[in-house]
Amino acid sequence: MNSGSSDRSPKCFLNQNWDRSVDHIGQFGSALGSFVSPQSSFELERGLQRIGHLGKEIPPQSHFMDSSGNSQALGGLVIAGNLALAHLDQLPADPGFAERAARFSSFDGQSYGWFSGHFELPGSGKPSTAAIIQSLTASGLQTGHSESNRQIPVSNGLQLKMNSAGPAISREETSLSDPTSASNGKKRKAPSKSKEKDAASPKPSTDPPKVADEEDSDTKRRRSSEKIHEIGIDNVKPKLEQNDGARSNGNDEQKQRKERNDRPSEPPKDYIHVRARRGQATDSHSLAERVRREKISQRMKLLQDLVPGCSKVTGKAVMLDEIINYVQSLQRQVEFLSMKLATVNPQLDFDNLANLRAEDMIQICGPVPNSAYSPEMSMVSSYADVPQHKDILRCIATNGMDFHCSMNMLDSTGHQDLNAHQACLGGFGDTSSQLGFFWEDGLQNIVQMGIGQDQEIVASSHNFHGGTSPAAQMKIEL
Amino acid sequence: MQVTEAFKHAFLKQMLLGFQASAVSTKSMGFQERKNAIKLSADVAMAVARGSRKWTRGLIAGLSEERQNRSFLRLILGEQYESLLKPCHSSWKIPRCKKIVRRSLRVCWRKQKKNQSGVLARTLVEKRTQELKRLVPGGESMDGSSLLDETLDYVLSLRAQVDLMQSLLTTFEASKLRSHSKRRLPERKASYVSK
Repeated sequence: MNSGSSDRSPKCFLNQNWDRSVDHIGQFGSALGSFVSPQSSFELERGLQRIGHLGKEIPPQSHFMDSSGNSQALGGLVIAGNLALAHLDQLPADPGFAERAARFSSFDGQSYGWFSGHFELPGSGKPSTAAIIQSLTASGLQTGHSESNRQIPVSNGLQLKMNSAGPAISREETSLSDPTSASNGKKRKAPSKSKEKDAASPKPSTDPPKVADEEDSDTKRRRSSEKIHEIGIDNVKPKLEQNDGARSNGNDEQKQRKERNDRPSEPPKDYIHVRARRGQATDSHSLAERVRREKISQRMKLLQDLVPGCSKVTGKAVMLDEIINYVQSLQRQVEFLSMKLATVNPQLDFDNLANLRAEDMIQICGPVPNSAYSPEMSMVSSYADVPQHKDILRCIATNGMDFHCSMNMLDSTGHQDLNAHQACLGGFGDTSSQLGFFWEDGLQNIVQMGIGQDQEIVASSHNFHGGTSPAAQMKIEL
Repeated sequence: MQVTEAFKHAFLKQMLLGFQASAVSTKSMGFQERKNAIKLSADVAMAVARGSRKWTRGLIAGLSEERQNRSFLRLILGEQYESLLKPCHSSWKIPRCKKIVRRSLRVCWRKQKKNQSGVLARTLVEKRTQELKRLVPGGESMDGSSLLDETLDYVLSLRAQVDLMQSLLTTFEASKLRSHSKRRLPERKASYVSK
């Protein structure tokens, strides 16, 4: 069947390329460490998770205990290699590498189908690297299938050759786990309790429910897909497909599609499902802490949109600094505005204004966003007190002037007499009709339809009253 | 939270009521007094318009710490005052059992010994969180994520407050100027007529 034929060809290929590449393996770790960035570490995780899924079983725990994250190192190597072949100059040669890789001995025909497509790798000029990586991936996959005794003689050959690459693994591990832990900001725990354990503990027969579980946890938690392993398959698959170009990934692809189609929909559960990440501890404390941290980072993102000038800033401390500054500046603004209102206040009748509430609100709330934000922005950018005050004064003056101009125009359009006689009227009527006029004028600039119509009716009634009495008064005066 | 028109309306209405209640315009107050009264009614209006949130409760509790404000608050809020105040006082500073705190600190310390790299960053963040807790009303009793939640809310409300006060100011100034110009006009007209 497939396994038979596919086994043979890769075997030869691998043997050919292995000698060439083995000497490169030693330097791989350092190169890997240097180039792994947070983004690639995410991709690493995804890749690792993919491997975890494809390899459904795990060999006895002891293997993993010893290799302490070997699986992730290898998986990382695969993805890293796929992603950054162009960056790598040489593969390091290292005895320990092969030794550990050899632990994942048995090859499976199914997973191999995936690799057969990989062997002509991106033309970065590093076929040897590619070959190694594929072999590693293959071996990584085999960890899952160790139960199935489909050992292939080539594995022995690989073992011998891979023996040279052992110590490199430790370096690779550390370099890999460094970025991953750095990106997580987490305390490093024994990666023995790795993701693969999680993935593997439900057997293949229970794969659909486990996968459905992941779907549930997807729906449960709304988080960025980068951090979620559960939907890693969907992310990794297109990514790897991109990397591999238009290669038919044969059997594996079909298998994955089948997996996806088979996911039954389970009823959502009451509590949040959290999955341990690969290489991270699975005890409840660290899981809960991870959930908490992700909550916090979510909120920080929201705050970032809110606080002006924070889009480029990253990191909690700096963000918090900005937030603190912004809150302080807003509080100072309130202080200053209340002071200004205190100076303006005595000349105006708040009682009367309170009666004109509806009209007030339209006027005040309507044009607010446009006019007020620019002064606010300019104030926010300079947090010192004195420039703030100057800015505010300038802006208020301009706003005041605007209103003043509009009112002058109103005067000149023939309401002069009315205004003049309105000025003669004292007390309540005077102020209210003045303001009523004002509101009517302002209303024309204001968007809201329904309330605006009401206001016009009210204001026009004011005008009407204002209109009749001055007319009478005019007669009297003349 | 979104700053809706309804929120702004309620805010403004409450603020004007507050001005009225404290009789800012009629009484002959000193400048400082008037300013404090205005600020007080603005803050109360903000808290009332927002509803019941941790920071609003903290704000009102903080305001009512001073005796002189209490009567004003009771006047403005009526029965809401007691209901807004009750949950806050009890949860202000969460009393923690010493034994449990000591135990958790020991665990944290042990973990920290292993990982010294993040210590500096963590202390910086801690310091800033402390300061943010001081800034946001009622912040002492919040933990990290809810603190950020409340900060978000508080920032939005503060912004709305600033906007409203600013436009109120411009409106008053404008109408003041208008009334000034009107007062000047009849004089001119009178002089014209007389001529």
